[in-house]
Amino acid sequence: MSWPASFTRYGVTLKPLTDEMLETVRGWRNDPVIATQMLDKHYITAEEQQQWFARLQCDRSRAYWVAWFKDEPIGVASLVDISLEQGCAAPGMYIYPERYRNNIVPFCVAFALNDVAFEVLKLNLLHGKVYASNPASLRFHLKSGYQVSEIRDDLIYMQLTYADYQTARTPIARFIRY
Amino acid sequence: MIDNKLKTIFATALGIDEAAISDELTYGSIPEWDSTAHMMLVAEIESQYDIMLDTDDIIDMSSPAKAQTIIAKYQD
Repeated sequence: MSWPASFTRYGVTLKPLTDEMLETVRGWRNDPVIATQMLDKHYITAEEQQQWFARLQCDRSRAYWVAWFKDEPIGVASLVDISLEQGCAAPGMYIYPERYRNNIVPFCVAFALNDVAFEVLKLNLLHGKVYASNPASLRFHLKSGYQVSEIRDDLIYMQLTYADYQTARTPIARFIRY
Repeated sequence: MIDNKLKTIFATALGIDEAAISDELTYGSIPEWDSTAHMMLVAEIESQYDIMLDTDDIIDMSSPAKAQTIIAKYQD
C-alpha cells in the first residue's frame, strides 16, 4: 500500500501531499491566518519546505494529505507521531479558504482524518493540543469527542478514543448529505 | 428582513445578544461564529422550521440574511 493512501469520505478527499502542491501549502502555512494558530509560527522558506518534504518521504511516523473539496484543494490534514505499536497518533489540520473555515467543512475533513486513523490504521487513541487562547479550536475538539487530559501553561492537552469519536460524530455527520 | 424567530435562533446558537443580529453579520466577522456554533445554528434551524437542509446550503449559510433566503427556499 502506498503511504499515505488517498481516502474519500464525507465529501472530502484526502490526497497524499505531493511535490506539485508544496508551494501552495507553503503559501497557506505562511499566511498569518494559519501561522498564528500553529505551535511553530516561523516563516517557512521554499528550501525549508523542500527539505521537510524530502525527510517526509521515508518517514512512516508522519503522514500529510491535502484535503480536496468540490475539486478544490482547501487545506492540509496530517497525522504525526504515528505509533502502530502503541496505536496512537496526533492529528492536525487547517482549512485555508475562509468560506469553508467556520461551517461543516472542518468537521468533514476532521472526520475523514479520524476515520483514516481509527479504521484504516487501526489506531485506538489520538492526541491533540490547542492553545488555551484559541477557544474555537478547543470547542471544535470537544465537539469532536476529545477529552481534556492535561492543562500545562497555555496549552490544553486532549485525547480522543474511537468510542468517544463515534459518539460525537453521529449528531454532526447526519448533516453531511453528500 | 430577518424574522424574529430566526434572530432568536442566531442569538442562542452564537451566544450573542439579539441586538447584534443584523443583515451585516457574517461568519468570520465575529469570533463567536465558529464551526461548532455553526452546527448548533443549523440543528436549531432544522428543528424550528422543520426542514432538512442540503449540505451545500449549510455551507452557504454565511449570514442571517442568507439563512433567511435559504429557509424560504425550503418553505416554497
